[in-house]
Amino acid sequence: MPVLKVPANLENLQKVNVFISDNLPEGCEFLRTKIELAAEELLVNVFMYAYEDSEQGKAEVGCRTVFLDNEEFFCFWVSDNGKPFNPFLEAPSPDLTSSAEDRPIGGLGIYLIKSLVKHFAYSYADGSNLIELFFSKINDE
Amino acid sequence: MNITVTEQDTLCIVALSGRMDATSVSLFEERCKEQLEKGFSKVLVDMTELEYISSAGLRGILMMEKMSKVKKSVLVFFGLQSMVYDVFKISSFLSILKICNTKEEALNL
Repeated sequence: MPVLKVPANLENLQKVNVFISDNLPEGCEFLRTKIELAAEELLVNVFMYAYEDSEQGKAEVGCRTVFLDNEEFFCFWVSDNGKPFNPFLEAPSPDLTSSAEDRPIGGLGIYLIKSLVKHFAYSYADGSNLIELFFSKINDE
Repeated sequence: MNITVTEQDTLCIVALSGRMDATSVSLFEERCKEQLEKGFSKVLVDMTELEYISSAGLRGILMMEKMSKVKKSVLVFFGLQSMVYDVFKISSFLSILKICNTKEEALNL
């Protein structure tokens, strides 16, 4: 199973994009940008919030094909050793209705991820957060 | 991301190419802010060559939109590729930004 260790530094996003391209299954080219976007959103969260300033934080990313109820998905996952944090429950919902003047800055990352994937999962075990995103391998666009 | 700025009389065009992500958005904020501070009444943002945007990019765009209102200027975005359009749509940015299909439309607005 392909895995990449990523030190918590924004400069490493490019390496993650190369990893995604290298491991995209045949016929899944249409997923590339969606996975890149989801990866950036998750890693930026980890790099900014998971670790105290003094810690040398890192994350791991990986991917594999998963059959969920007999349907085939491309699963992309991100894991970190920071404090327990379930972004799907704990990230605030974004404001999508206010005018530009009144709209608060930020809060869209997790919302974007939810809109891109068919299923998302969070678990915490043995000191690690694990987020798994399931992208449908069927191109319905 | 590469940024090219062109100034013509009372308007200027900020042309973006490549990827607007967490590593590059500050570049956009810097250049756009510079133009708004110069007092242009209209700043066009050419997105024809922009192939990717993340929530970090959206944050920068919303900050500049807010700043344009304070500076009594108008930001007009044009030439959105499908990836950028989709992200704007999901985030409901289409309703708060001035967006045109082409440069001509943006100029006439």
